[in-house]
Amino acid sequence: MRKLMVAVWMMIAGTCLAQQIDLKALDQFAAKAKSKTEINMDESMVKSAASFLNPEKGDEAAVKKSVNGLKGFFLRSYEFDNSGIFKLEDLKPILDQIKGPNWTSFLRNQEDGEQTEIWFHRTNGQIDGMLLVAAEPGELTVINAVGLTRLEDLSALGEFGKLADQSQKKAPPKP
Amino acid sequence: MTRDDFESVVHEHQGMVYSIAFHFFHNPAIAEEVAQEVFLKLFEKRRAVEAGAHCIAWLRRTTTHRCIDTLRRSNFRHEVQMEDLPEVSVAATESDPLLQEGIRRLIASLPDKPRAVMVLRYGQDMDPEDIGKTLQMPVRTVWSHLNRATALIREKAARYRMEMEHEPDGTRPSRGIASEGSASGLR
Amino acid sequence: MERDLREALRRREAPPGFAERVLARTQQPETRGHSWVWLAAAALVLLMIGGIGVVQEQRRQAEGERAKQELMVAFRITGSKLRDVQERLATIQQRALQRSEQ
Repeated sequence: MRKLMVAVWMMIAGTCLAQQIDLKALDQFAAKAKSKTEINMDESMVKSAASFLNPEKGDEAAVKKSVNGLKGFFLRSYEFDNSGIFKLEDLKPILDQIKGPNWTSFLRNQEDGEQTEIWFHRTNGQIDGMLLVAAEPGELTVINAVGLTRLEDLSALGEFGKLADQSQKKAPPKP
Repeated sequence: MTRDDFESVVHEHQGMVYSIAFHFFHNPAIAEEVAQEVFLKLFEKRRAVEAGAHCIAWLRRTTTHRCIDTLRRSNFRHEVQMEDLPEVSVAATESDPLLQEGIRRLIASLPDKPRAVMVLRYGQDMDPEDIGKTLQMPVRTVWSHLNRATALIREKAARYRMEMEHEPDGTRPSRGIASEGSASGLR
Repeated sequence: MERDLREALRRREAPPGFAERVLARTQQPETRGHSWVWLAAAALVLLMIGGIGVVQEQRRQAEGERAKQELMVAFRITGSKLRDVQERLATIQQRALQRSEQ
């Protein structure tokens, strides 16, 4: 009975946390960055923030529509004075966390010292998480959105077109 | 002060409180109303007032202030300037009580502060220093009121007596204006 | 003169039944003094509760506004990055197209 409970707990825990990426490995860059933005919003904070969004006010209205179902938002964005502060290999601890079967790659591009990756987490075929990694000399951005169902929701404050269409089309076949 | 203490105080000092109010207004109805209000206030504040000398001082002070406030609030204030005090009225009979009644009416016609001073001085036998504390006025002001009011009353009383002595046919003339307006107009 | 004044202003007896009338009036508002105290205490408690409520509400408002600002910043950065990704994709596609045409 006890083993069954532990297994159930691990399943629930796994399901809950699978979309959330541990970003501690990036802490080392915070001290070296000339400018940084770090955002850690769990579900309650997102809900609280959403309740203060004005549905009649341009940008806030767009975001308010998009945060429905969002269960967490974790962002790290650093700018560095020179390009040698971090290497693409430093992203390994982050990318190792998305090797599970529920993570699928939407976009992977590495070119001229720049790396861009977008991954989706799916549960029962439905998108419920996203990881974006954008790294280039002098700049690193990692965004993890938990509970996200549509990529276009994250572009509420920006233009977005074909990328959204492609995210809907690339759902993997069900086993 | 307990409730029992309060009852004792009412019985013991009702005369003092009533007297002050009566001589201030020369009107028994108003005097009773004011006196009742004073004791009701004492009842409210009984926990802060100690029985004994403290209570007596409190009663005198409160009664006097209540009299002055009531006079000031009344729509009809028939105060007369000291210089314009009417003559002591002379009615038909002979006794000095008439003079005293006239004096009472005269005093009830005084402006509020001199009136209060006279009532406390000659009605309650208080020292000018104590009167000053009760009315929150300097002692020299108390003396000033006393001197002026007494002088005027004395003058009018002396005139009255002179007229009494010089009436040729033994009858007493009916003269002067009764100082009836002092309190009768008060509601 | 002073004798006349003292005689004129001598102490009067209160009217009959005066003390009884006073005591009767004190029977009614027995708790008049108390009710003031209780009212004041109740008002103070209400003010305190209200004050605490106001402070908590202000805190909630401040935290909510802060969270809102964070969310807006998060979305702006994300939107910006996604635009960059889109542009990069467009560039890649363009290059692939050019290569295929060559």
